[in-house]
Amino acid sequence: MPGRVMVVTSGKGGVGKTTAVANIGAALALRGKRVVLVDADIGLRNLDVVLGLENRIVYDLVDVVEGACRLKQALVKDKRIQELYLLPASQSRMKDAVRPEQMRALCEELRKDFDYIIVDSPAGIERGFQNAIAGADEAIVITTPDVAAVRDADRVIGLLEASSLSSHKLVINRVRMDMVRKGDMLDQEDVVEILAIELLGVVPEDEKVIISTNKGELVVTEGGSAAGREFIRIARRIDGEEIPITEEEGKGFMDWLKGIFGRRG
Amino acid sequence: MSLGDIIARIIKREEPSKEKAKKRLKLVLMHDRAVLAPEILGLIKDEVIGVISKYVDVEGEGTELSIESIGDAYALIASIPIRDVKRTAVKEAMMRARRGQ
Repeated sequence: MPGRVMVVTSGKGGVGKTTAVANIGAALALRGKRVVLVDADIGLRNLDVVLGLENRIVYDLVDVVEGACRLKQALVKDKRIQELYLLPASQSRMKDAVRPEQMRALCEELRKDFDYIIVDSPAGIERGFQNAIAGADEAIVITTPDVAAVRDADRVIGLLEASSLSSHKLVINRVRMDMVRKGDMLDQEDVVEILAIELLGVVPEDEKVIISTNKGELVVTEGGSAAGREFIRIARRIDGEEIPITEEEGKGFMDWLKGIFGRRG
Repeated sequence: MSLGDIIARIIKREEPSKEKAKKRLKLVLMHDRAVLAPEILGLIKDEVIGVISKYVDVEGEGTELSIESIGDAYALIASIPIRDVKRTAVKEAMMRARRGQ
């Protein structure tokens, strides 16, 4: 069966796209799927450092597209997780080096060998974004629960709706349940109501992500990370399992209120 | 949030900051979505002119379609200059309507 090509995109930078790509991809590979992560942020390569594979790159995406090497030569195999591969972005070239039809051909080629092809889109909605979505069947939109990120996510969803992708789902990243409980952060219902898009997962803010990234490791390989656990659940949902979306750290504000009165009453 | 915080919030009648975020987002997105689709506005304009010009002779060039905010809501405002009414077309349409009843 040919693989699924998914693009992970956000509009706004800094919401955790690359971390999500690395962890969701790793979680799928840990389930025994063959996974390749494609860094489509030409000129600003960073998926390699998040994965801890920066020292093993020989060729990159632009080399493949230009025919300077074969596709298999450019794929970097992960050192800890079987069946996880990276196709790195070029660091020295600009994003004009690749055209949408070349990305489409590349994704078709990867589809033959992998179960999942996950494309990390650059921030923004220009050429790099158009390249990233060109070969994709489905999109995962990442946002954080703040006004700037949600606004940009809405713009991206509008562009995805106008494109030929069959589905797009939302991941809300870096949610702080303590602030949600105080009414100082948009919760998942608020964001879904505003963006009118199907929810794929809600990832809590977790300092273990920063610590893992410092070391070139991934939170999905650690048992103690709340974010890692949710990335694993997201991977299982992508892979067809029915897992209800629940907020990891505690409950919503109303549940919390009911809890207090329930205890006292 | 402690009980003290809740009481303080009620006394000050201050809404939680996320409610402000939500209201601001809804407004800004309504505007984004409306102004960001000029091609859709163009399509609506062409189709509206198509329907109206069955009955009246309109000046397509002078037609303007825009989205304007009226208080909290948004409205689609169309300004379509009319040259003449197409009497026979109107008469026929009225007869069709009567027959339909």
